Formats: sequence, C-alpha cells, structure tokens
Amino acid sequence: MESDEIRDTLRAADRAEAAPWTDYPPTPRWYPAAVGVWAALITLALTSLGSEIRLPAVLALIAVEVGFIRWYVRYRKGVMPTGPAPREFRHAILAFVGGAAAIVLGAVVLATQVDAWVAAAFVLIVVPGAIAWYERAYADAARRARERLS
Amino acid sequence: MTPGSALDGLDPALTAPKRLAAMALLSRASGADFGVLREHLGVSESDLSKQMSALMAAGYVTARKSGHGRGSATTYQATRDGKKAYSRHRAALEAILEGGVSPS
Repeated sequence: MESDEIRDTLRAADRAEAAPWTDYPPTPRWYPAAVGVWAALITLALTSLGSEIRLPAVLALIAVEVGFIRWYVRYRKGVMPTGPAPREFRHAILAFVGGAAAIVLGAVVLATQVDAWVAAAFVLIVVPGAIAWYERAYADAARRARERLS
Repeated sequence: MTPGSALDGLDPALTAPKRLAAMALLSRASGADFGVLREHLGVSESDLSKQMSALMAAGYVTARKSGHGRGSATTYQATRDGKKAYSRHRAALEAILEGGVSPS
C-alpha cells in the first residue's frame, strides 16, 4: 500500500465517520412548531396542573416524545450520530445547549414569578424560532464539513 | 507507535477500503440500514452483503432484521470489539503514513 493510497483510505474513513452527522434527510417542516407545542404543553403540565393529573399528563407527553424519537430513527434509516461531532458543528451544538438552558430558565422564572400560561406562551413562541435557527446552523455546519472532507 | 508496531496494528479484516469505510461509519453511529451503507460506499447489494458478512464473521458488526417483505430492513451495528479494531487499524495507518513504512 503506497502513501497516497493510505491517504485516500484515511480520507474515505474521515468522510464515513462524518457521514452520520453530515448526511441526513431533510427535517420535516412541521418539526419546529411541533417541538414548540410539545414544550408549551409540558410547561403547562409541570406548572399548572393539579397533582392528581400532573403525572399522567407528563407521562403521556414523554410517551409522545419517545414515539417521535422512534419514528425519527426510522426516518434517518437507523443512523443516529454518536461520538464527537466534526468541528464544524461545535458552535451550533454549544449554542443549542446554551439556548435550551436559557429557555428553561426563562420558563421557570415566568412560571414562578408571573403565571404558568405566560411561561407556556413564552415557550410556544421562542422554541420554534430557536429550533428553526438550530436547523439552519446545523445544515450550514454539515455543508462546511462535507466541503472540507470532499 | 513505532513503524514496526504500526504494522502489528493493521487488521486483516479491515484492509479492504470498503470494509474500513463501513466500520468508520458504524463506529460513529447508533447503527445504519443496509441501504444507507450501500449508498455511502457506492457498492452493489451483493458486494455489500459480502463485506458485511466478513465484518460479522470477525465479530465487528451485528445485524438486526426488522419488518417483513418489501418493508423489511437490515440494520447493522458496530460491536465494542469492532470499534476498538477500527481505532487500532486507523491509528496504524496514520503511524505508517507518518513513519513512511510500507505495509506491502
């Protein structure tokens, strides 16, 4: 095996390692809105429902989430990325984690200091925008990673 | 890793570039359907079946079938041994490249 051949083999391995991150089907258009509705409902369930129906409501919403994840794994043909992401994704992932923490904090403050319905409305409005931003940032990172590895 | 020990790290089951690429993808994913691997590797169904059989025989990959008939799917997953073998083989290739040693 010549050096050029080894280089080509390693480059193909780099592309294959990145493929679970960079090659994925288009995210459904309803996804950001659906996540917003789900997040608003679980905000309401956790903050405004009586204790006797809170647990069943939260469990039902978790069941919906589990069902969605199972469908999404099938939609991605069994390919869910694991391990470290290619470097192009780091900014988007860090922003996602930070944004999610800020939204949860904002919802908790609104629910405890103002009103549960205000917190749910905040989540319903902010989450779809945040998800839509993340989808664009992710797609841009995937494009840059594909270009680097091509 | 010295050039000599780099050669020791090469795994005969992974010397075929298609098998190495399949292991690379599976080492960074929860799994992958037959069709995804075929599309990524750009190989025929029979070729991919042959490559995946070799990886399964080495204990580096497991296969799970789901569904029946036209809707059926085969999903492959890398085993822990497979991921370790892939990392070793990849490190050996990098060491050979840096050391300028020819494995052939």
